[in-house]
Amino acid sequence: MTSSTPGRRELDVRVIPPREKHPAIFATFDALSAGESFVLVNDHDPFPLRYQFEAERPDGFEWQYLERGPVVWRVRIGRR
Amino acid sequence: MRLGLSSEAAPDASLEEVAAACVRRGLGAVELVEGHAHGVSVRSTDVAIDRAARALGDAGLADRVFRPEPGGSPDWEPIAALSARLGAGVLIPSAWAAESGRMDAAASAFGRTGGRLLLAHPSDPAEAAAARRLADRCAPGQATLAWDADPDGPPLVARAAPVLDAAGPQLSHIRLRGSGPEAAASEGKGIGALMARLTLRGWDGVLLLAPAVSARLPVWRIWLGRGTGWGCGSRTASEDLVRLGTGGAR
Repeated sequence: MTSSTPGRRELDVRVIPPREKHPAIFATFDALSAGESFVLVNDHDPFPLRYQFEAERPDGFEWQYLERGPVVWRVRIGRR
Repeated sequence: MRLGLSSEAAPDASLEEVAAACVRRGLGAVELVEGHAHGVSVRSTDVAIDRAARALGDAGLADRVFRPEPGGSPDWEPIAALSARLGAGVLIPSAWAAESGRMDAAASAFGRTGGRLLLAHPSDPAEAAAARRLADRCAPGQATLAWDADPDGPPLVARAAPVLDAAGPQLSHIRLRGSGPEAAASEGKGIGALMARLTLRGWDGVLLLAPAVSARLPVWRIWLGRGTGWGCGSRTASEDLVRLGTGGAR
C-alpha cells in the first residue's frame, strides 16, 4: 500500500494554501537530483508555473503533460 | 499519493452524493464515518454493503475507509466482515485499540475475514511508534497506520519528520483537517512544506481531506459542488408566507 519508490513521487498541490503552492513546487524541484522528476497534480492547467520555471530555472527543467483535465492536470517536472 | 474525501465534509450527503462530489473534485478515495447520511453502518445488510461497494466502485473510489462509531466493547466480527465486504480499511484510534486486549480480538476477527485495520494516531511520534508496534502484531498487510494531522498547533512540517519516521512504511493514510476549501485559511501552518516532504519521500498513500470544524461545512458544500449555492429559499416555503393582500384572491 505504501512505498518509497522515487518513481512514484507525486505532489498534489490541490490541498496547499495558494501562496504556498509555488514555493512547495520549487522546493520539491530543487531537492531533486539531475535526471529525477516528480508529478505535479493540480485542478487547473498550471501553465503559468511553466513560465516561472522558464524564468527562474532556464534550461534546467523538463515539462511533460500526463493528463490535461478537465478535472485534474498532471505534469511530470524533471530536473536536467 | 491519492486524495480522498471524508464524509465529515458532507455528513448530510447520501452515498451517491458523496461519490459524485469525489468525481467532481477528482478525488480517488473516501472515508465513510458511521452515523452520517451515506447510511453505511456495521448494522447494514450484506445487500446494502454490496450496493454501496458498487456505487463507490462506479465512481472510481478504489481506496475506502470506514470509521465506526466509537464504542466501549465492539463486536469485531461484523466490523471485520463489513471491512472485507466493502473493501474498506476500518479506522480506529490506536490508543483505544491498545486497551484491554482489544487489538488481539480485532486482529483475530480481521484475520478470519480478510478485512483491514487502520490505526489512527495523532501528531505525536511516540503514539505513532506505539501504533506501529500494534500493527506489527497483525498479519502482514492486515493493519496500517493513519496519521490524524491537525494543522493547528506548531507548524505541521516541524512535526512531520519524527512522525513519519516513527510510523515508517506502515503509514498508509493521512487525515488532513482544514484542507480543501479551507486551505487558504491554513496558510502558514506548514501544509505546503509537508506536501513537499511527502513527495520527496515518495510517500504513496492516501490523503483524506476533512473539515477543521463543522462550522465550515457550508464552504465545503459549495466546494464539493453540492446544491446550487445561494437560492431564493422558496422551494419548500409555504405559500401562506407570500400574500399580496389581506383576504384577496391568490
